[in-house]
Amino acid sequence: MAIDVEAYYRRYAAMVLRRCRFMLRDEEAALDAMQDVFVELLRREDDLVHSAPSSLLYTIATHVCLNRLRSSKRRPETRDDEILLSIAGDESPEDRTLSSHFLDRLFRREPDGTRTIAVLHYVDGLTLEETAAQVGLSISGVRKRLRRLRARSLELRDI
Amino acid sequence: MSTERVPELLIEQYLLGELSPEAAARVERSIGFEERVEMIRRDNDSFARRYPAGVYAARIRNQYDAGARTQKHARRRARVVRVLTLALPGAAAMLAIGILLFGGRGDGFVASGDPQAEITRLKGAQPGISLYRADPTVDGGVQRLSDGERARPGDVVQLAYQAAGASYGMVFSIDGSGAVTLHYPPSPASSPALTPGGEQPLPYAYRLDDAPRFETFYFITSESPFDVSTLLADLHGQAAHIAGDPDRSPDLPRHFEIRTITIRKGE
Repeated sequence: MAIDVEAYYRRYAAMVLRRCRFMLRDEEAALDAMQDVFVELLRREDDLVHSAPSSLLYTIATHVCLNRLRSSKRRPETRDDEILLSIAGDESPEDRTLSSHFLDRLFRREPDGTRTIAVLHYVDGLTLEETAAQVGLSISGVRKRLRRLRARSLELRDI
Repeated sequence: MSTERVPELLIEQYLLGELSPEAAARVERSIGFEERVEMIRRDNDSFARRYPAGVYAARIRNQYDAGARTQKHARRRARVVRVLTLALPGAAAMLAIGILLFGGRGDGFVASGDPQAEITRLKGAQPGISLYRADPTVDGGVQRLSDGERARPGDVVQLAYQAAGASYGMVFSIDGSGAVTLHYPPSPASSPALTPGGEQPLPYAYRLDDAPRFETFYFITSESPFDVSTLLADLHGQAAHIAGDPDRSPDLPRHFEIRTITIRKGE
């Protein structure tokens, strides 16, 4: 599916930037990430059959920002931030609460897709059905990933 | 009005008209619906003014094109590295040692560890690029190639630059088929900061391929930092013309100084 970058940009870029701003809390970093999201979209253009570009772009933006957060040293400003940074796997050692340390350990062995699912479900508040539609998995697939996360969480609590 | 606060994505999709009628009705009933919609509309207006589509869409396309070429370049580099590590360890090592020896012979190069000599050279020296070929038949096993010299496909060569006080630079080549290869910095995303001091051999040797007629190596320098990927994208656009006319120089911003060395290909 060929992509008209300018047309996509006009229609979706503001939404993508808002998403990146929410996750990165920095206008310049968000602007960079927004451009990376569209570059990623172009890389996938031969495989695209997506009928809802907003869902795809939102998910790519979440993934791109999680990757950036992982290497950033940003400190959490809100409770959502704390969860977000923990899901991203940011390794800043200072000021980490027990719960965020726990989330670090929880997500360390999980694939990137699970991080994105966790952000959409736990931070953004999407239902299982909405999360599944976002990431292109079945509801049972999403449920299975989250169930595995919960099981791992219980294991860690017992350690 | 419901007591539900829907996720931000649903508000975005509502405004984009990408929700089913049922989902749209749910969003319209949600808490803070009108304020949230108004806020996004205002932000959309501000976004269109601050980050115009014409400018940013072009940047995105350039970034994508540069990335695609980087992958192609990385494949070529991977071949070069394989040549180094598997096929020609002896020749590569010989080149590296030979360049160090050759560089200390007083023909414009300075042996490292001689600060006075270095200061003297830096005062009057110009940035430069050199190309060496592994040749077991010559004294020392390394031959410095002159501009216009003939080389054969399969020859192992190594590039070296001399910053001579320039702070930033880039080494690339354009061959007779119009292929552009970045030699330094190691990737389009890397800083083009140069290592000061004497001659700096690049960290890998390079086996000439069978591209036709010629390959010109460029060393461009600048006093200010620049974006390698943007410049590279621009060079890709000019490469076909240069391949058709080897005497033609790339059209670069004025602040760049250019040094070149061309080798002719063939027996």
